[in-house]
Amino acid sequence: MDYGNNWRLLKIQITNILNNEYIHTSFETCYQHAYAIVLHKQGEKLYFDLEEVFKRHLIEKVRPSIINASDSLNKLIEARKEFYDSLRLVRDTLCYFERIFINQRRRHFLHIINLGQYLFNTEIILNSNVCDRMKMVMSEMIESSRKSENWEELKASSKILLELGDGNRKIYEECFEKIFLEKSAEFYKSKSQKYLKNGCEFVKKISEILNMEEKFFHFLDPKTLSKLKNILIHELITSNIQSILNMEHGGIVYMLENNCTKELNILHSLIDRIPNGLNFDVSSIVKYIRVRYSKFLHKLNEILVSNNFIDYVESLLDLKNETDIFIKKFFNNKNQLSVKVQQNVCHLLKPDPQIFSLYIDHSLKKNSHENDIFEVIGKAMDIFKLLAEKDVFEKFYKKHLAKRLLFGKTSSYENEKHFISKLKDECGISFTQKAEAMLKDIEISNDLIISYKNKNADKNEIDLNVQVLTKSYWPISDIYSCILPTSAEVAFNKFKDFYFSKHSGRTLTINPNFGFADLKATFYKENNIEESKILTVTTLQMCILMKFNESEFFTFEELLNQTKINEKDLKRALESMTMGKESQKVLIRTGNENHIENADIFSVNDNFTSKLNRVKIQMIPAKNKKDKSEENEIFSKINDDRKHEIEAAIIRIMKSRQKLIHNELITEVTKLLQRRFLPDPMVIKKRIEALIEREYLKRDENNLNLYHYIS
Amino acid sequence: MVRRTKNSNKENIVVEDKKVVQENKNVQIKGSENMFKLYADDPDDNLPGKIGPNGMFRLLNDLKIRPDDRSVLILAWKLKAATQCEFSKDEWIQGMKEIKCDTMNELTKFMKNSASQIKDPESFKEFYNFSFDYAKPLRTTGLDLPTAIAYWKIIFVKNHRVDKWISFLEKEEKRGVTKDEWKIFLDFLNTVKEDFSDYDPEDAWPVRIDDFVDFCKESC
Repeated sequence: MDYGNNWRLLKIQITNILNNEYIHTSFETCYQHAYAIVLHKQGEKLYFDLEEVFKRHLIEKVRPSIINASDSLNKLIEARKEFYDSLRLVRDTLCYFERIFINQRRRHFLHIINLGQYLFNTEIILNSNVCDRMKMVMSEMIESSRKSENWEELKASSKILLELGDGNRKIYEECFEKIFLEKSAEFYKSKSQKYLKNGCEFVKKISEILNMEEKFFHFLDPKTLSKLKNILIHELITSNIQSILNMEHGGIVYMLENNCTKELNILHSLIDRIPNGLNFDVSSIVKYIRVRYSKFLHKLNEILVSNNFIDYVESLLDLKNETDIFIKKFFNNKNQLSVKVQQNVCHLLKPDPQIFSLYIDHSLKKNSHENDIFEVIGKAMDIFKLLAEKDVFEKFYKKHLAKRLLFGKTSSYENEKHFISKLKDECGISFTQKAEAMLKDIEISNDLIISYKNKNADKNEIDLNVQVLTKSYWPISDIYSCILPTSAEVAFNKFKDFYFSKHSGRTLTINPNFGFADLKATFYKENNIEESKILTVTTLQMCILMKFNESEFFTFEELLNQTKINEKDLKRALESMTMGKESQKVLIRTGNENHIENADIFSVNDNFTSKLNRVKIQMIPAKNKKDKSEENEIFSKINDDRKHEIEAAIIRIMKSRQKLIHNELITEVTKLLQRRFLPDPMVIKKRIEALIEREYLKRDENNLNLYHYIS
Repeated sequence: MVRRTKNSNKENIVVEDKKVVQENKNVQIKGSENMFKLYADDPDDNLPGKIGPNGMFRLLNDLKIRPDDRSVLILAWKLKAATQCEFSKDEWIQGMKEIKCDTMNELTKFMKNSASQIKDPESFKEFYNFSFDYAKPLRTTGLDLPTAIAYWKIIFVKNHRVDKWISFLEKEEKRGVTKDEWKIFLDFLNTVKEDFSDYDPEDAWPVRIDDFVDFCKESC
């Protein structure tokens, strides 16, 4: 057998098939040639020669035809179809070869059709020249489609490319997607440059483009579409957002000042689409607000310094009103943006809790407001919600409440209860428990006194009124005791007996710092004229004045020893009766210095006179130093309370999470406490260390930042 | 140890201590027990059954070591001693077994080479943490500052970072040192760079160390 001859004939046949030319040789002849080759064990040679023929055909004929065609993609599809059809004919021609030779060696040789397909793939589809040609074609196609805004051709072509890869996206991506995305990005960039001069216009045009593009490219492969969307957002919005916000012509400031609500809404929806867009938006809006209301804020600060709390709160309410209107106008009240802006505005306003407490105190006192107090309280609650340090307010409020209740300065219990219920709604029971208890104490005391008086109607010489306070609820610090005048002591003891008949297991201590007494005082003038007055004095003053029934003169030191009144309080009481206005000087003081000394001598001022029958002796308002120290005391108590609250929060969180890293613990504690006050991370850290020392927590052996809860 | 029986009218019978009889097979322990008896029950110490401060003093004298030498602390660590300036019998016996010494010569050699015991980081950490418990008086939770500083000086020989730390403590804080702070200090030395470039004050470092870093940054 002559292989060469056999093969030559077959080769001609195959070539004719591939070229779509007329086949001369008969099927049977070819069969015999193939048979002969296989018989003589030349099958392998035949296989490789066949492969060579295919390759030649593809490289020399098919490839150039595609590259040179104007419509390369379609040409490629056409060529593929032709080639595959030819393959079938070739296979039929060589069917003996395939059936006997290839079938038995399936591990090493491909079936003819598979061989052809494989070669078509490598020599045509994956060939770099073809690829380049495709890229060019697609590139032109994209540009012309963009101009004509007709995407049909592109739609079809992109589908073909995707399918060509047969699961492998590489061809599609190389020849189409990459180019398409690049060109689109350029297009968007140029568009945005064009409109970047005026913010309002930009916003409108850009959102138009966005919508259009998304509509157009609906047909795209989803992965490509999402990549396109990202590019859209990046090119149109993200790159330009800062300039838009800050722009003078039609920027956000312009929009806000000129009520361009429509443009603002479009702007917001655009910003919504970029990551962290919210922050951009919020920060520029807050900046604008700060500028717009800077005058207000400035005035507010001035008032704050002057301590005029009524003006302060009213200005604060005005400002809040303004900002509320502003936010309502421009922002849909429910969405995230308006919430964040609102939060930031609260930070901006930053009401001072102490001044606010003074305002509340003033409002709840007698004779302060003709207006409807309920309305006042309602508005005040708006400010309360803005407070960052609610625990400071709580402490001051309680102190003021105690003073109001004990000195009878409150306008009415109804009003107090109303305010407390408002607080309860806002903050829960823990805030208001003690306040309510204080009110109850007063009410119970009032009933107690009524029943006491009924029981001992005529036995009393002294008309006694007692308020019994439960120590733990009232913010009253240490009680200094003193020696009461005998009559007072007796009356008090009678009351004590009455009280203990009703309640056992309690102790009663009189608090001489609160309470007042009416004394009948007789001043002996010349010519034996007596002038009687009723003096309303504090308990301490009463103790002092009653002493002068025993003797005419007392030195300071004697008074100190005999009344056992705390020195500071004694001095203050004496000053109010000797060194104040003439209408208050019921005692005479002989002394050298400006302040009271141990050797100073006191006696009754018989020259005291007044038009009134009843004279109220005021206590000199405490000098600034004492006020400050009282204030400092309150603040140090607040700090202590905060330490406890932080520790309690840490333990609660660690108990439920069992282990937590440092930063997360700080975040959680802050979140838990932020309704009352904003804890300082350093303080939290110190509390964590204290808890480690007390073995509530421990550090992880290997990770210093990890804490474990010790149960 | 030899003891004579009381009611013997024969020749003095030598009866060895029961314990010694039982452990007679093991020559090593015999040696360490003898060593122990040399220094224990010192009349000035009034600590029966233990080596007390005076005994320690004599021991260190014989070893020719100063009391503030680090090797003494290392010895205490190896012996797992519970209290300063005290070694109980069990601690001594077990400890000598642990360090494989039963003559004074061997012990002297050990003391000279004690640094090798804490060469690797794991052992050093164990030794360091032990020192806190050792230094701390029994009923307190923290270590007073002067004692802590003294121990730091002993443990870290010629370490200028520790010296800076000590000068910071002497200037600023008068508080005692908690166990947590003691432990963390070693981690701090080992993990944070000398220029504090990788130090993050928002991490879980104790506040004292935050203050120390601020102090260094200001003074440098």
